[in-house]
Amino acid sequence: MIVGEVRTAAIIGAGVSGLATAKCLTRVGIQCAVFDRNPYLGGVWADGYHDFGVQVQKDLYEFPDFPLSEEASHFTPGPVFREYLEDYCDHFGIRECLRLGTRVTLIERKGDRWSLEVDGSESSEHIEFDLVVVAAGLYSETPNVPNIPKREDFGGEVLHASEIKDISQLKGRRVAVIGYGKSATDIAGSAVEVADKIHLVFRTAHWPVPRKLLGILPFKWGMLTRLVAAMIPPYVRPSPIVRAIHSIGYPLPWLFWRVVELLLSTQQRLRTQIARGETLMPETPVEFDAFTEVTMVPRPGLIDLIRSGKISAHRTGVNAYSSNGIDLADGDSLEVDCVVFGTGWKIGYPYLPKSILNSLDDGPDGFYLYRHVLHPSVPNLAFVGRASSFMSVTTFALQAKWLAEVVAGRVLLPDAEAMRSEINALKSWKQSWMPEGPARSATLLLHMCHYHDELLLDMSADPLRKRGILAPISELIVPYRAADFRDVV
Amino acid sequence: MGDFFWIGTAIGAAIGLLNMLFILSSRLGQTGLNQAKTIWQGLWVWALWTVFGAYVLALWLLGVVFLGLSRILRRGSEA
Ligand SMILES: Cc1cc2nc3c(=O)[nH]c(=O)nc-3n(C[C@H](O)[C@H](O)[C@H](O)COP(=O)(O)OP(=O)(O)OC[C@H]3O[C@@H](n4cnc5c(N)ncnc54)[C@H](O)[C@@H]3O)c2cc1C
Repeated sequence: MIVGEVRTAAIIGAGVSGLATAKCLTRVGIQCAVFDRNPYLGGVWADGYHDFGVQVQKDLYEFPDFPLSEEASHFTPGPVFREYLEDYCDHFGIRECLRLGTRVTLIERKGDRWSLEVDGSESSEHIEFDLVVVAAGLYSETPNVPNIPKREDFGGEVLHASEIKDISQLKGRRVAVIGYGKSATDIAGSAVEVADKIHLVFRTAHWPVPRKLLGILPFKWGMLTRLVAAMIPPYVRPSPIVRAIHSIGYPLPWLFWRVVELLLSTQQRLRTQIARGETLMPETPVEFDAFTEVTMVPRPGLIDLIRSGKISAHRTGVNAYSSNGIDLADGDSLEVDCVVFGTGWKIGYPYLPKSILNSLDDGPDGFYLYRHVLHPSVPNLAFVGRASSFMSVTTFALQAKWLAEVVAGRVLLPDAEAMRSEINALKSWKQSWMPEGPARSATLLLHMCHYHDELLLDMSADPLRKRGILAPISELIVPYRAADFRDVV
Repeated sequence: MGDFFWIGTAIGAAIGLLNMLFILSSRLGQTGLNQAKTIWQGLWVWALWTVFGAYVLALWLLGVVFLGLSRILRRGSEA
């Protein structure tokens, strides 16, 4: 919640969400300082693993008010997106707000303001602000490297995916990549060209989404429309028609998703046999699996590499390291000299004192916020970017705009009790069906359009974004692009 | 076949009407929302439900059959 007059704001993180926040807050006359521990801006796009890039088409993943250049490829490579963020910064005149190479180490409430302890390259200092916006992302705190027994026995190298800056690091080596998400499969796919042997080890198979459904239709048409959004497990406050579809009409969405599964498994040949007669067929129905943190649009050709045996896939866990590799839970042993963990990141806010995390009601799902931005118990602390979506740039740009409107007093918040009851409703809704995980509180994914609707309505903007005489049909079957939100942000 | 088509269309028209009324009641009078757009959207929703009502009914029935079968099979394999 926002109290008192806000004249200055500290923004933690100079990635997509921090830059969008700086743009919107400066536009309402707030003096911003954007801190990033890295000496460069861009967050995850500044420094990723080898050959990393955006998973979705570029018209979904760009700022609504600052389109990517016409020449940029359909799936923007990481370094190109980083350059684009530099241009965004210059275009909107926010470079002077940046305090790069400065890590925020502690934030504390001091009277009506926040005191930040920040560590620069030479000195550390305390600075006071009226508002703190945490825009530190979900994927950059601490690499998640599972603790596997007998590490000391293994003579080879253990790396996290983020450390593979150049695939030649794996040249001539026998490598086990652990995980089945985007980074694990990207690295396994690239390493095929240089490594001696590649194993991909994962416990759980998930539904990969091909870039083009049936090889023809970009996946956004099959996954990211309002029609499909009506078929997923209903949002926290579903409309009567969606409620009906998921009660008496339930056979309809059920059939829809079984057809989707049939198409996905046939097109990608998920029944492919891998080690020990296992297959790549997931067990969780696709409409629920789509809400795990490993939703992935793999690079084309991944499954072919598995089929051809160039990537040797094992659907099992890792029991322990051995002197010359790893022992798997299914009894197999892999002889490798390098293990790469594509197992994601641990979410954390080491600069938030325990008392604040307690007030935010931090738990196994993370903490739940009002509109994924504010908490009624902690005044003038906001989060932008704590919401996973397929078009995060648009989602975060809308969050940043919403926050700026709240600060400017043009969007009025309900009272603390009403906010708390909204937060509780969101929490029990998610816990009633969404797969568990440390970021469940922040998961939107296929529900992103419903969340965008809420933010837009709060800002008195129309959630129906399509234009023209056939807009009502487009609303149903044409996916939103970032550009559809241009006049809002 | 003809009867099925008309039954589906009638059910679709009824659902569409309710859907349209919901759209109108939730949007008309809200600040920032265009009234003409709201009415246009409502009318289209009604029309689409009516036109596709029979197909939706057919898919729903197919779903009933396959969902029923899958539940029986799952119970069988669990027993
Ligand atoms: C390979 C890859 C592909 C992706 N593809 C998609 C996609 O297709 N669609 C999609 O919607 N999303 C995608 N994402 C998700 C992506 O992370 C988000 O879209 C978005 O870029 C996150 O931006 P952010 O600014 O919130 O966080 P980040 O980019 O993580 O930036 C946070 C910044 O905060 C800084 N920071 C953290 N702690 C501190 C501190 N204490 N002091 C100072 N600075 C601090 C960090 O250094 C970092 O620069 C992808 C991510 C990756 C890695």
